[in-house]
Amino acid sequence: MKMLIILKTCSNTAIHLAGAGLKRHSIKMFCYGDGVAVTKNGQEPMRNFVNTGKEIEGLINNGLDVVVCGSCARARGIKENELILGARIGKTGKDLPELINWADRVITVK
Amino acid sequence: MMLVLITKAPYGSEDAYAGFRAALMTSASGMKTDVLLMDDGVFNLVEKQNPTDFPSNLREIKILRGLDVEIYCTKNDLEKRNVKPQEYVKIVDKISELVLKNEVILTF
Repeated sequence: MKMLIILKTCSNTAIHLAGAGLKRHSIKMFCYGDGVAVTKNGQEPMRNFVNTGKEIEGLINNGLDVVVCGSCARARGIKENELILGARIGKTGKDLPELINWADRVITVK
Repeated sequence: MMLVLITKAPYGSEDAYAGFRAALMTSASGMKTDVLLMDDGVFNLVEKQNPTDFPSNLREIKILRGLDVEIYCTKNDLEKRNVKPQEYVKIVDKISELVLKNEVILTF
């Protein structure tokens, strides 16, 4: 199955969902609104907190495709060279409809 | 067919605006898209919105109307919040039919 996760917040749940899904399915993630923050590189969370950037980087290495809403990233001062390795800035008007068309299932995590 | 479900009031957070923008992008790409305003989402229909630091959500709705995007909400949500909708808003009693006929639902 092809699954699209639209990530609207910094969510560990979405990361676990993507990780579990990747074992059997093709997964893409579209980071929208505050969800773009998970793809910022250089995250230094406090002890006992998850480094979402590293987690997603690991999932990218296992086949997760991560597209970041360009206008959402720019609004938050996040530039393409500040993203974790493998994440890419997309054109939301083009990429979001294409990803929705690609997917068999779309899950919004907010 | 796609349904964008907006449950948040305008301003204060960008959720509702982001939902309208997503609807704009998918409908502009040729995907049949409708919007369902639920719970506090019906506050996006309040007339005479005049935000000074943020784009007007009512303007977004008007742009969507130009792209044949239908705006739905429930009578119950409107009455609870005393919102008087414009004539183009389609009022439904139950959302089940609307939910079932759409293949994709994005929630904001």
